[in-house]
Amino acid sequence: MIAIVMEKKPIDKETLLHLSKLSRIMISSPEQEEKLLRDAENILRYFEELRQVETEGVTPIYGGGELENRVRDDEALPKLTGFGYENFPETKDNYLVVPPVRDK
Amino acid sequence: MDTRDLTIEKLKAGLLAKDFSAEEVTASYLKEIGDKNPIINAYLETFSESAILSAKETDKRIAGGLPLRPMDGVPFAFKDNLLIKGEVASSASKILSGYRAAYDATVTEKLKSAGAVILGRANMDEFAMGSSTENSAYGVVKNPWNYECVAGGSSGGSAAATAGNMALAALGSDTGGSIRLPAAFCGVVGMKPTYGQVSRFGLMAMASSLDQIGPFAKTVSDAEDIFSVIRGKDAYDATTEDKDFAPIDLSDPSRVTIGIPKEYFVGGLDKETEGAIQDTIEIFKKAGFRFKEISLPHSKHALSVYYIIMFAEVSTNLERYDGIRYGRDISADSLLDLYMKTRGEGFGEETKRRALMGSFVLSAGHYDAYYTKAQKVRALIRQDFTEAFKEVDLIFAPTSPTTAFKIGEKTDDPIKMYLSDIFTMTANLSGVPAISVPVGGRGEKMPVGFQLIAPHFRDRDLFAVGKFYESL
Repeated sequence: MIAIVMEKKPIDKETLLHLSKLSRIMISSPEQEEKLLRDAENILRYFEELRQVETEGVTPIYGGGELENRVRDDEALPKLTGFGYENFPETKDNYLVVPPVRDK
Repeated sequence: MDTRDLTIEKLKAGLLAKDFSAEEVTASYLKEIGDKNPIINAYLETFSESAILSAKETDKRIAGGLPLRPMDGVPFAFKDNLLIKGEVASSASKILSGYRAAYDATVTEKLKSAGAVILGRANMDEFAMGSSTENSAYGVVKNPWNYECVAGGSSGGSAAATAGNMALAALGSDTGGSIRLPAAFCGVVGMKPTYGQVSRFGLMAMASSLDQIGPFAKTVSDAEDIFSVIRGKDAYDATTEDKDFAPIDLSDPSRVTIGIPKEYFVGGLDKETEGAIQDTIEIFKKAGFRFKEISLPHSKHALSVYYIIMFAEVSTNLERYDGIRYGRDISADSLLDLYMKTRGEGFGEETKRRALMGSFVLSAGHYDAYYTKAQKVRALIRQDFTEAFKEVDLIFAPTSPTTAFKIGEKTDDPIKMYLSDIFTMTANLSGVPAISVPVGGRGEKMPVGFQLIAPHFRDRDLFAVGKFYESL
């Protein structure tokens, strides 16, 4: 008897739908879903090559520069206050209005 | 007036000699935009009125005998992910249509006070995600050298505006090559400063550990002048530093060693590029520069590392586009529905792909295999550069494996598209500065760019050697 071993797919439909929820991005059509799945598979297969790199004992880099954390006094800087509200789609008494968080 | 041969230096000389006024120069560029933009699509919007007003201010200063400011009367294109107070800023995304910037980016503020004239918002790949400016929600940018070809990306509008004589200079952002690649494809100079040189305050973040803002210009000297204005420490971007060193001494080029990474020359270059790059090396050698083969052994993993890290940071940075403060889908009846619909309809295909992939590489169960692994290999890539710079002063490389490709040629295959950035992304992963300079003497042939890469904060070395090349 010949055993047919299916290569495990790096990403499946169920995972994609889970990611869609995590990312808060609606996938609007079956065609789009199919294309995203196919591309994701190809990209993840490409990434497989990283496994061959020996990284035992290497300290990962988590930023772009070599800086330590910078702190400043907890005071609002002039540029960062008092603007932006004009772009809000809906306001009421200086509050931003959004649809209900829970189902009615 | 004919602005084709204009540079920042010539513009300033002409203004002082009263050969022309700043208003005439700006009007001339606006006319070029009116003629060419319907085809090239480099601009999403032009600011004719405010541009003429700032040009008039320059003329007033000259008439009043005041000294010229560094960018007085220089007409600029600004990539559409940079904030200009009161103007629309869309990052070429539908999700931000109608959004108006509430403040100036630090670079905007600096260039405005230096006298720059902002001509308009330049087209780009949506949220700077792409290598060809085919991902704009507002149409592809065409290469001014050949309208069937892409301008490169993601700062394609900035590059095409500069190359197409629709701006004297431009600003772009570079996360994996988004300034240098379009500069090479369009035959202009494009530079990515050291990570921490230029403030990103007011730049829409794509991948925060990689993004830098930098100049496009017709000459290396012009690019340096812009760099000098926009660089420096800024209280609003905690990653900025105040480090500016005198350039490398070129009085005796034989004391300067340029490294050639052997991994960048193992095939994969098209014939045009290969020939132009080899000729450039010969020109440098003839001028006395020493060349040395070096190794950047982890370069072959750069693509995987870059895309994993960028996907992760993109998915995080895009969380802010949630429809709450702007770009809302009004048909939503619950908050979750609002998020899902706004983002599902507002983001383009590549943006969705990257946000979803980012969620994948960051999710429990995959985090270590992808994200942590990539951050470790990133450390090795940076180490490669540190080792190389112990032996050489600068590194020389092609900017792109090919000249500008045809519109539509790579849109169906993300990996093929991603490979366009193979020679540029290592500078972002390492944080080092890099410049793309057009190979000279190619006449009407499609442009080829070569790249110079320097150690951290040795940005001035790039300009010095670039200017030396242009003088040969």
